[in-house]
Amino acid sequence: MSDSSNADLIPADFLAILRCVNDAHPRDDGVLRIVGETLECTVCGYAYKVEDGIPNMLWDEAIPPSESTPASP
Amino acid sequence: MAGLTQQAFDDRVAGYADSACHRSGPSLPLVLEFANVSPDYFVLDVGTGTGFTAHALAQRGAYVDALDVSRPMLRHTRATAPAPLRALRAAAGSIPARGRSYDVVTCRHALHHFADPADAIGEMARVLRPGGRVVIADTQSPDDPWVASEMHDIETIRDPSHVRNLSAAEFPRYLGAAGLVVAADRECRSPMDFDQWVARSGGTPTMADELWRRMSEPRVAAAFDAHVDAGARRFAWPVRVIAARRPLRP
Repeated sequence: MSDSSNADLIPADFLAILRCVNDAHPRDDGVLRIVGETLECTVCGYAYKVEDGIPNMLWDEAIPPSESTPASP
Repeated sequence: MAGLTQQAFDDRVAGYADSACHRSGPSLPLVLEFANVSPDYFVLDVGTGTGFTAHALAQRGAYVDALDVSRPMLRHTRATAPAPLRALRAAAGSIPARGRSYDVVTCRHALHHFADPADAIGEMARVLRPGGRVVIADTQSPDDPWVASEMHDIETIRDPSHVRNLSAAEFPRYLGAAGLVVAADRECRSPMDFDQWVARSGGTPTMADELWRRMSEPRVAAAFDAHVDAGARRFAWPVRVIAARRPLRP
């Protein structure tokens, strides 16, 4: 699920409990994966920056799919 | 409102880090008593600010995630933590954790800043495991509507990030609406230095004088024990500390 080049962006057990805050899909559906320096929702594609190891999960600052880093194949 | 709150707190790290009522006020031991964490507990501290509650919980061996909208607050909380904790920048009304992730959720002296306290409490309940506890401590609005309105005005003039205080009846009502069952409930008073309280949110001495004039009205003064002690203007906020459990079965 994660971009292996940056798997240490945040600990795996932390990533496992986080969810996307996009209200367009059910709250627990928004599983996240690491893509570059962001956490990307596997459902809607919105991405969240990780700044100094702190996930920024503010919806107002989420990166829309068209602007986020392309996912690794 | 999240933007206003975030902006307001980004510049206030030093003021909150020095705040006696946040560092060691009477609500902290009650929150710790009600939370009753064990070393293997997973805890979320919502609106962690400079992290006094998160730190105390981490010192007891809990795995603590500290949530706040302000990055400077979170960086301070993490840098000064006595034990490792994780920081999470998010709004209380939209907690970015999957359901049933935590054994305990705490929220101390932060609820009055949230745009929608009912939403925030609903989110705290959602991320709680069955059998887990939410523990909230916050300043409580007086029963007298006029006094409550006066204090609300004083609070919002002093601090534009202030939204509102819950009344005595609203605490259990909101927790119940979130599917939680009240398990412990206590009131205490948080003594405050009035001028430090105004200055902490950026208020000027002129503002402090004007607000003290309103605070000195007899009904307000009686409700908040406003008085002058050795030249220092002082008052005390009534604080509610309430814990509610998520039932094992809905």
